[in-house]
Amino acid sequence: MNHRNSKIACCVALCLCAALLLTSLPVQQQPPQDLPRLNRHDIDIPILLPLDPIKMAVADFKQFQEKDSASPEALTKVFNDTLWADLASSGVFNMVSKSFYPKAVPGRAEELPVPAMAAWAQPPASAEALVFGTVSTKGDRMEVSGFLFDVTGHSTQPQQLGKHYADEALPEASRVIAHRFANEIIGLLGGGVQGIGESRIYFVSNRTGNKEVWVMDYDGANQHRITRYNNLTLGPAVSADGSKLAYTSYFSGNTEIYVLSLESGRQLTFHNLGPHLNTAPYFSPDGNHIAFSASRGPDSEIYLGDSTGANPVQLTRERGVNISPSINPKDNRIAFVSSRSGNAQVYVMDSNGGNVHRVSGGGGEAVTPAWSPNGQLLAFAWTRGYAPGNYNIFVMDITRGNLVQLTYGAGANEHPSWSPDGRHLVFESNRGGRKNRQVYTMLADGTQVKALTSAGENFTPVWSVR
Amino acid sequence: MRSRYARLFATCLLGLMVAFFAAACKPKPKPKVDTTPPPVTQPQEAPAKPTARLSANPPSIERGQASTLEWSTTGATSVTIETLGNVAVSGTQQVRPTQSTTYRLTATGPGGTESATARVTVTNPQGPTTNVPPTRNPSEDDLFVQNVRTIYFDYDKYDVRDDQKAILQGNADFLRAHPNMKVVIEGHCDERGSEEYNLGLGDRRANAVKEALGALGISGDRIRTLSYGKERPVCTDENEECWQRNRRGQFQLDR
Repeated sequence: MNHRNSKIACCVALCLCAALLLTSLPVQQQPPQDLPRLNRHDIDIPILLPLDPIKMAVADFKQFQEKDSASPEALTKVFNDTLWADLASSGVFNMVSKSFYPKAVPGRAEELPVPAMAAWAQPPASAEALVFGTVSTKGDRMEVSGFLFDVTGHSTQPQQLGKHYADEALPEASRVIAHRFANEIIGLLGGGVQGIGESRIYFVSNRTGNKEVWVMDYDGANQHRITRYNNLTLGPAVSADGSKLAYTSYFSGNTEIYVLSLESGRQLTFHNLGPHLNTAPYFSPDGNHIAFSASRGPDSEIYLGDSTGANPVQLTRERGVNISPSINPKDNRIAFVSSRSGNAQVYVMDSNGGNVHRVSGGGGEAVTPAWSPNGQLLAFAWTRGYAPGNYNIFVMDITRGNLVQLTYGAGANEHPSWSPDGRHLVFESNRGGRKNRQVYTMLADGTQVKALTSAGENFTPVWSVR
Repeated sequence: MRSRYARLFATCLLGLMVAFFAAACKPKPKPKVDTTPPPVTQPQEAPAKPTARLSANPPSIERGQASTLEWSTTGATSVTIETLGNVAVSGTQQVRPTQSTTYRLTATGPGGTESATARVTVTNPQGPTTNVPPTRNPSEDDLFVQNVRTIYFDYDKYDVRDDQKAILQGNADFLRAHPNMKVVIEGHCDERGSEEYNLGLGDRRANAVKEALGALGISGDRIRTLSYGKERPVCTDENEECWQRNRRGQFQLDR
């Protein structure tokens, strides 16, 4: 104990010293931009990320093996890794490093009596919440018991969650159980907003030599191909309930929209309108309509039709390019891109085409708008302050007009799409090399940027609830 | 023992601090100033001698196959390629010569004249069969690729530039003289817009070329348009010369 205390004292002293040195250094590298820096406290828009995240300890789950059962070792590792990654990337927890944990780690609820909790609440762990449990194999089945405890001592009922899961003893099943348990924890402690452990991301990849639509888990796992046209396929869109996929393909020789049922795998009817260009499909929140862009004359215009493309209503009547509609999930207003002012800018209009106003003012070009799930925020890619083509992701609080820049000049960053919980964004970036476009995710405050893809080049991601 | 441990620990922490300082002091990339799109190729003020480059890929073809001529020049106001006539200051063009041919490019500017050559060797196909599609007269293809030329556009613009109007007139003249030919106009963009916006821009460019041909008397019934956005670039360099080559309305025979 004495030994540890001297280490901590030493550490604290050195940190204080470092802090003093840092603050006394001349500030030479002040970023020149006038926009808010990436500090959650400074972001003046409602991004659903807590300012004071809960300090969360997640003990490795203990493994048990019944006689003549599969080894639980690999399953437990997959489970522990997935659970940790889900909670760490959720944006609502401040993860306590495992090196600070007490030696005695519980597996079952009865192994954490009130006195034992104090060891987790005290330094060095200083945790507020603790997750622990067991993974056991019984024959070719696996069982998981997971617990969430409030270890602060403030609660009369420390156990917040106790969950039991059973499935086949397969790594994939272990991953899914970990995602589900993480979702429960995040749902409980994250203001009632469910986690995204089981959400997926649709995107375009050229890794087979042709651009096709692919899908992956939200964390980049399980990447597999959806379309097999061996042609050119672009711009996926997915319905709000995750049951339908739309995209643009050149398969017929023209640029046409296709709609696919993700439940049956069957192609659904879609009546294309323009003789040549039909693209940028976007499902209405109820899934009964599709907004898209088509050119019947020289200009591309935005239409809103039934989900089969029938009964299209023309919403824009402007020269040039009118494209990339995104429908607000709460009030059905449509954000879109138009060249009407001379170059690409983002506009918002009512669902009948009225009440148009420009969102991106003040230089540069703005493209690929995307509404947040709560309808309050609009993310888009903008070259404001940068050379043509060098987009960064911006988010605007649409009612107040407040703006935050989430990426800063690392290549082109474009095509944002929100996670179902509104706390994350997926986007396309070539920050790893100009000819190396990949799909990345980040928290809605611009932190925790992660590459999800690396095979071939990967483009235009959209986040789906499932 | 205890003090040795603390010293070791302090050394590690100092190392971490140094790394932290290094990271904190690393210069952040300054955002570039918002620049207007680079201007279109203009005659140079100072009369430097033009430069010219011409290549054929592949340099050797079987009769009936195509080779692609690719050229670039600097300091030129007028560029011609023998048998193709006037061409853009840089570009690509498919050719299907029926016999071995040396293509000579002449670049003329205020600073003088420069030329470059590229030879396409034509070999006879092996065996009695040919690769020429039997349904179409190959000479019509030859005439098309030799006479119909690509139209180039400014950044994020779709109106046909003044310097492209003579080329468009040439295309219209050729199509008028061959009333049975149908064409596809492909609209293309450089890499700098979003994928979707470029699909719209490429479509608008193709439609602008179709409209301009209509004004020159070519019926819209003979013309199909197709936008490839930024999906089919002819080059992938990061400079205005390459971007200009990609911002184009390209003609294909419609089969």
